Amino acid sequence: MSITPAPAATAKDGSPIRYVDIFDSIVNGTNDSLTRRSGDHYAHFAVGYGCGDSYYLVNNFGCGGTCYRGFTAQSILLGQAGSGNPKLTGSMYTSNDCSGSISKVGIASGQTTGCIPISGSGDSGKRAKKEALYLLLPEYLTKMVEADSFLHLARPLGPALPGSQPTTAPLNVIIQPQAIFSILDHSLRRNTDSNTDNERVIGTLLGVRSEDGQEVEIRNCFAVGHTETAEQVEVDMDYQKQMLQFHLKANPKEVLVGWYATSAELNTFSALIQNFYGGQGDGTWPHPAVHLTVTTDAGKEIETRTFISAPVGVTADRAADSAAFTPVPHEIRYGEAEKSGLELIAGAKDNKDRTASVPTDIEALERQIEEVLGMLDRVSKYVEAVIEEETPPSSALGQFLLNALALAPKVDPEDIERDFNNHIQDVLVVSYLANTIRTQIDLSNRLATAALTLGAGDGLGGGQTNGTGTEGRERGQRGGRGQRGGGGDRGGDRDRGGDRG
Amino acid sequence: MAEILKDTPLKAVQLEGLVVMKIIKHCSQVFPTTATGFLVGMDKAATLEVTNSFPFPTVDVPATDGHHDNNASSNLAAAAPRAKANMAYQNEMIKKLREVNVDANNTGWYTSANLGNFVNLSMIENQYFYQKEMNERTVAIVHDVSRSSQGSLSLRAFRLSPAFMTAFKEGKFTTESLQKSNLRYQDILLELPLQIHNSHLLTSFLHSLPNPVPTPEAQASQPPTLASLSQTPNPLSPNFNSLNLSIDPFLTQTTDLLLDSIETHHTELNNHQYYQRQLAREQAKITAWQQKRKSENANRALAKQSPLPEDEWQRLFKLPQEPGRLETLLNSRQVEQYARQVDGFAAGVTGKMFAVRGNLLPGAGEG
Repeated sequence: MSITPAPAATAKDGSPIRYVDIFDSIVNGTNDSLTRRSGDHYAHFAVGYGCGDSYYLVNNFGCGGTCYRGFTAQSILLGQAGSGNPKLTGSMYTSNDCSGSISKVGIASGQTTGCIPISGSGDSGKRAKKEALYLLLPEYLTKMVEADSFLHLARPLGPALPGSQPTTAPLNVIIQPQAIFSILDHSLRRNTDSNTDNERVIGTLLGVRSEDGQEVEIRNCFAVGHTETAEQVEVDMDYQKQMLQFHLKANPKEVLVGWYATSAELNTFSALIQNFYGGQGDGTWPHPAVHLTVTTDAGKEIETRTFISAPVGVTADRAADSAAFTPVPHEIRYGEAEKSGLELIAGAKDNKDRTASVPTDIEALERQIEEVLGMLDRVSKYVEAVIEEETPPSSALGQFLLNALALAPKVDPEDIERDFNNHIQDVLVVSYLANTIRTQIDLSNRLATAALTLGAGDGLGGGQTNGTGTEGRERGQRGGRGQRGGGGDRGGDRDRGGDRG
Repeated sequence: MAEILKDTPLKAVQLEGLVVMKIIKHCSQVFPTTATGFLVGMDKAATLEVTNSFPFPTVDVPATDGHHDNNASSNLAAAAPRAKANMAYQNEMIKKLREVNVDANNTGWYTSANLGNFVNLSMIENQYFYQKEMNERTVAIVHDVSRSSQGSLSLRAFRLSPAFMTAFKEGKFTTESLQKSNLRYQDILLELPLQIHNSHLLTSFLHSLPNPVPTPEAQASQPPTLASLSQTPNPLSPNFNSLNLSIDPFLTQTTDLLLDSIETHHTELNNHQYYQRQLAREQAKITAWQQKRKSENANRALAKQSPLPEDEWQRLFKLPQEPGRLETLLNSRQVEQYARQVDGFAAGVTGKMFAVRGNLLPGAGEG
């Protein structure tokens, strides 16, 4: 299956527009384009090639856009900028001329001054009302992703089927490390033929959703083959469906939650794929599909980002290949069980050959004791530095250290001595018994097979030729030995019983 | 080339970090039920590189009462690697994986264990099946969930020894055959050294995770409140499970397992003794019969009659079948495993206990 989208809009200054920036027009079907000039603080909305025929020019408008959909108009205005003083805010209005505000979120939730009414008269007014402009400049959103705090933007709702309750609740994404590891592995295994321009690889994310749908945990993923050229993208849908079935067989609790790509770029193809994953039927609908990007460019840090999307576009055609990506917060979370594994894997990070061997219990203990000693060292250095007045003191740290010290138990020396002796005896007795049992069983095994070497070499045939009782005696002897071995074990058994009792 | 490769025995197993995480995830998710899955990777001369792993499909067990249910699904999962349906699943999956450039060669399977209780018939049969039917150069990776929760990760790689393979093929584990092949329980499983390997990208990713040792800049910034100190979002912050001093759970569990093994040993011994008594009885009967026939023949010889055949006893009497010693062998191997485990545990724990006493009672340790 292949999808060929319409050519994407390009920014006038040639810089890539990372967020979906399709200027949608249904008027005369002309190819209209959109300009943004973030440096100049204005957004420019134009008709026709070459950005002629100015439509609106929004000054002092650093980041934002207006979304107008159908007859129940809703506008969204994002991140208005005063000159040099960006104020992040998101407002939602019932009508397309920014009146009838329903909600405002954000840091400067009183700010409405950047809002330019979309209105007009005559032809241009009609067109204005019919057209949707959705413009997000990436800079602010990137900043939001990097910061710890998140502005939850209510995503614009797509066409809802009657009877369903689409949600605009905030979404948190939790990523388990093996999913990331898997994506990195896939990225290493991408095709490198020169015919296709496969800068990125994509795959399907599997995981679980919390009951209220506000938290998505990505637990697993698999690679899906795709080829991407300048004009079109091909995703192997059959493959994706079959692999999904395979995975669901093994992990019935996991569901499809979205997809990943190994480049931070969001383009028209991203929107196409996103709409496929978020669609009805095979997709995640009615939940939003999560898009995870993991950058794997050589020489750069690996960055992970997560997005959900909202449909944009007035006609069905345009809606298919456009989407508004909204960043959502994410967190890489490790389970308790994975900790030891991760520690081991991380242990190889400073080795030249990138390998590590599995440590024995004693080695692990040694390493941890060394780590604790290192920590104590650092702490005492810090405390010394504070006493010498070289480092500014911190009351929080002091309190924390004091609390830690207070945890040292106050126990009677005799109690310690008694507990110590009891436990050490337990350990040693069990260890001794385990080894005794081992020896006993070993012995019994050896006797069982060794007895025959002493006996007649021809084994069972012996009775026929030799006839008489020698064989029987030998057999008896062997049986006796076997019993003795068994008795020994029983003895061990009794000992243990006493120990446990 | 292939011939040359086949000749060099496998010497080591190299696990990709991804595989380690996937196995841990799967095993701990279904714990205490047994988890099994298959491994894919590449075979490079003496090293087997395992680069990816996938769990086997779960089978729904009709729900009866809770306890039995658990057992049944555990058994099913343990037998999964050699189940026919899973074979097809695995082959399909490998075919699919080849399309996305994963090293699509079968390199074995993995299973989870609880305190080293993995040496059993099921595991042997699985590995035999893999080494015989699928690909000779396959390994079984055992991940011990309960031991890993005590601190250090427990992952081990095993193969069946060639000697055991031939013996198992014949299916004969009588005293006689054991004697001939000189097979001991120590020779059933070969443990291969295991290494963890990371890709360059993964190394780079690990470096981008915050370091547990704060940088000087981070140290310079002061924590504002006490509460902010107790939040540790750092994924690589050290894990002090190894320093935990909980001794009793481990000891009770291990002794329980040991008792089970002793019971198995007893059953096997009893079987054997029963067989020996049966055998002796039959032998006695045969001898009696032979003597009777001999004296009869002597009488007939005196009476100038032709002697009766003396080997008719083979038709008349049937010697009992000797019970196989396989279970005993495996049990012995299992006990050895437990004993080693206890040794390792005792070594660590005594060290820790002396350290604790030394700390709490300074000066008392010298005595």
